[in-house]
Amino acid sequence: MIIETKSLVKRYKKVKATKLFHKEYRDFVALQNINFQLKQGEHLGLVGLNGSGKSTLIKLILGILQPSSGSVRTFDMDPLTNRQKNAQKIGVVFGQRSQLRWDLPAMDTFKLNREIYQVPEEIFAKRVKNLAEMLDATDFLLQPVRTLSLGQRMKAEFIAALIHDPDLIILDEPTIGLDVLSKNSITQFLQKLTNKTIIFTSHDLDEVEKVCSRTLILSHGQLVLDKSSKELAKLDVPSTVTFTSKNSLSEAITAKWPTINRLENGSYQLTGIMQEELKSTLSMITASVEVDSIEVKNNKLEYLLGHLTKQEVC
Amino acid sequence: MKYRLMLVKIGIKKGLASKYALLFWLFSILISTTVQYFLWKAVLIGKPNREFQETISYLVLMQILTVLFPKTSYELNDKVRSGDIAIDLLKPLSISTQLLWEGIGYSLVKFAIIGVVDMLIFFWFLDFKIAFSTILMVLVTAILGYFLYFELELVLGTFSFYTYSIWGITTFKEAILLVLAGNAFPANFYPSLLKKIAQYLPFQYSYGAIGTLAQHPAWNLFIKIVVIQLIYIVAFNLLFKLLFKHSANATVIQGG
Repeated sequence: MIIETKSLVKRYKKVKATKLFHKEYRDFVALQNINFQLKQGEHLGLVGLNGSGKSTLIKLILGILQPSSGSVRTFDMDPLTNRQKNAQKIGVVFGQRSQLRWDLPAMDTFKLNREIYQVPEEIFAKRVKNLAEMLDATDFLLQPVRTLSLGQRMKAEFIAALIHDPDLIILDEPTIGLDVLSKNSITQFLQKLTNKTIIFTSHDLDEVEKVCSRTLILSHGQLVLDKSSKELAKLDVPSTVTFTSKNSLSEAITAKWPTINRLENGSYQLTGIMQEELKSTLSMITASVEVDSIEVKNNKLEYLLGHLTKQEVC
Repeated sequence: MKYRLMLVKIGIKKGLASKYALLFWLFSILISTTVQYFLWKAVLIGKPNREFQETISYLVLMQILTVLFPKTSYELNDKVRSGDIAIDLLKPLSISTQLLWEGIGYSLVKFAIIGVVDMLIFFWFLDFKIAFSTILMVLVTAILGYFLYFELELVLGTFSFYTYSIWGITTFKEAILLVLAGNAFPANFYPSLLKKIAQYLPFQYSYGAIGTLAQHPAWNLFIKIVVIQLIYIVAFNLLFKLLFKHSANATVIQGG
């Protein structure tokens, strides 16, 4: 087992209000009774909204935070007391932090990591070449980091984190703020790492489903869902259909869906369409109105968070 | 061992990346030295020229040490405030090792750009008459002074875990340095009580004691200073480890 948590709880004291001479604190439960296991080779997605406890869980796994109660074991050891030992086997990318030196080329950080993790010169050269090719990053590794775009910087962060060929890769919102192309490039790269154990946190459930074989959803510090990504994909979540048309809606449509919305930009929107109705709904719309554009979206995470309680799924 | 060398190289490259800033620092130091020259010329009017030479060379030496010594407390503070400390905590080597060797690299660049010029001024004030043994004694105590100052800075930086800003603490440190460490004013000029207090303060052994040794070189004084420096280095290293362990366990990493 790579990671195992038992009844894991993390509480903070948070500042409630700052008065002139003193501060008022309140207890804040960041994580509540988290139980899960991660086996070797699994790609685990950790999904939740801001403040749901994803990063706190990651930091407990890495041993940079201490649990308030319960236990966490990483590589079958207490991560807090074995942080530096475990670090040899872990590669971490934080979307909001950087290990690259701002004024220096990314290659300098790679070389530093080569020495810190004692990677032989030949293996290092081969690994950098492979990773750079996989991430399409060969062109900018000798440029100072300050001159790189966010997407390029994140690719360099990935290489820096993987130089020592870690067994466990932890990615804490690595695609935050990236454009679609950079996101896709990183997602495709992660899909190729089939022999590694990965924990991938994100707000974006679709992205996690592409990379991970299993997904955990956290809400307000509680684990509300633990399912394989295949099962998750099969969940019937209502969709929203948005379409634009130069013509006004036919009576058939308004009669069928009296609650259809007209948006400020002139588009029409239908919400709450279940999977089984989707095909017929789209056929009816396209048959009844001259459609300029049509879009189907399902905000699975929002729906799940709204409908799941801990008892329902765990 | 090689990773230490690589950290030094990174420090050197970081220093070279800010070479223009260091050049401006050099100019400001030259201006400050000029002001001090005329100030002390006026203060020591009527005194033997030897006294003026000793005082001004002492102050230039203090200036060199101030430039070369690392500002680790600020670096640690920045890391805690930004949350980037998380990345450093996840390396298989201690944060103090990372900061020490990278800091040495940066100090080497500061020495090359500012220190060499300052050293020439120092020797010039002494008419280039300084014994090799004195240079050796000053060099050894200055290196130990560097390590001592680094440990002190680490301890100060650790307060960031609790206060998130160490501006007040470092301002207090600057005041202590100004008054009691002898880096802006030779401790000889103080009343005996202050001189006595200064003798026991650790900052004195990063600054004033090294200057005193340069002025009045003697092997027994050298040994006394080295022993006290070593005791302080070990004591502050232990204190830092204790504080850091407690702080890192109690910490909340800022942001997501």
